[in-house]
Amino acid sequence: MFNDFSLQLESGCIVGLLGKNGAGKSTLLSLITGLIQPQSGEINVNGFTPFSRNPNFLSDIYMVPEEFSFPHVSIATYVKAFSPLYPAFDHKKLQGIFEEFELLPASNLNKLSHGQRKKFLIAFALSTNCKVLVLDEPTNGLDIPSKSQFRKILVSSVTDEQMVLISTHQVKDIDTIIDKVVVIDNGVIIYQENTNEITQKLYFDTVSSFTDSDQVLYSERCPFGYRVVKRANGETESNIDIELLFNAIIHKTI
Amino acid sequence: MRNDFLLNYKKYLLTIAGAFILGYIFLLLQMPMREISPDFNAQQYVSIFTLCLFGLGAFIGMSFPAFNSKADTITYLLMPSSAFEKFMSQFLIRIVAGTVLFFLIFWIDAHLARATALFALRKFEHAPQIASFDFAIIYRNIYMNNNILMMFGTIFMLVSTGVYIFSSRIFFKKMPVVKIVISIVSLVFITAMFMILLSHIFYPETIGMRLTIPEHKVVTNHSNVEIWLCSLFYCSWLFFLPLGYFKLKEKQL
Repeated sequence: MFNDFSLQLESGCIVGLLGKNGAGKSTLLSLITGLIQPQSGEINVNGFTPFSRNPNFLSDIYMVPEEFSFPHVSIATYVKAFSPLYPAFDHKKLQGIFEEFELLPASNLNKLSHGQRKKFLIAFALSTNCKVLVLDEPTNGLDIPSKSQFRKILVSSVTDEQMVLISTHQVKDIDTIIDKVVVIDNGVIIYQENTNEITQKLYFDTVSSFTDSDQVLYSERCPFGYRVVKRANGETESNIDIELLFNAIIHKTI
Repeated sequence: MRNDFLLNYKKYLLTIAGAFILGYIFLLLQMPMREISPDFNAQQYVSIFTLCLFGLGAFIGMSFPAFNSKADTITYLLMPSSAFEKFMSQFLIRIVAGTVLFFLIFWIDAHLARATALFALRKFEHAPQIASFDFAIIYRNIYMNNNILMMFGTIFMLVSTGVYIFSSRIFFKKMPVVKIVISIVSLVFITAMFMILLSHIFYPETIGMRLTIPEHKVVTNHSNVEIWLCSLFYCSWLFFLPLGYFKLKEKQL
């Protein structure tokens, strides 16, 4: 799937991995975590070859997959069984996130709703303090308050030593928290940029109408007129509209 | 292993309880319960024991339960422990502990079923006899004609089959037990076909699907066929065990 593919991600940032269905996002996540082996080429994560699945590598990377299942045990038993496998596990942090997410340690994991189980998995992932956190569609199944809680908790708990890679289609859920955008299509990186550089280069706006002289790179109709991406004039910055940015990239206007 | 016991101890306890009850019922059903029933001799324990070995085989065939689903496979493969630890943990639980418990459960069930049957027969004047079970019965059956080579051959045949079931499970995702049975049947069939082919090549007088293996003594008391079978059974588990380990090490989603 990936030919001539090169991606380097540094610690201390939250990366949004975007792409259409079948673009190769899940394959890339599987390669990074060592779930599949590259047919050729080299992958290095924290100094390890992922597919070797060295225990030291595995204790410093945590993946929240899109599909997950749990054994028929309570949250407390699950934590007791798995937390010793992660040397930097922070029980205090876990307790704090449980309180935010309103999760009770005595609850049986399989009696919780999908959203609550997802929240537990996110809480556990963040508490491992692993250097690499891979989140595949983390906000799928979360209700609206939980999505904002997720953003708040993620931003407050990620340290400079950690790198969080979030693959999602729900770009609106993460547009305020990511530091870098990577877009892949057909196994090729078609765009990668830090968000502060994006805001310096591009300006996102909603206008009732526009003309050719407005130098609009990409536009989409919306109830109030048009959502547009323009070149930034260097004077004012806008908030990033990742959905619009993504569509502009896919339509090759950026 | 600690992790496995913490998460699955209820499942293991239920399996042990289930095996205990089923084994007891199965043994009891084979025992005479009426005055006119024939005696239950020691040899009959051997047949029941052999049948129960299929249950142990099924338990071993259900090793690496995480590979039944994609979600569990991700959790299992990303669990921070080495492939060797994961392999050994399942080996110790499924093969070592499974076999020890199998022997223990069978022994208890056999004695309990006999006691129950004798209790039910106590009112009859000419009640049928029920032999008592001990593992010497099994031992005597595999230690035929003082042939120690074949005795160990039989033991290693069971060991190799167990290790084959254990290791081949890693190759299959869905319905591993069914696929393992199919793979064993296919393996036996292919081996038989290969032997028949060799028979036709080296002994052109071989007719149809018959097998021609001239038997001759290689060493005192042991024929070439015995030596061949024993070398196959003595060594095959040594091949299947690392095969399973390396398959686990290279396992992909």
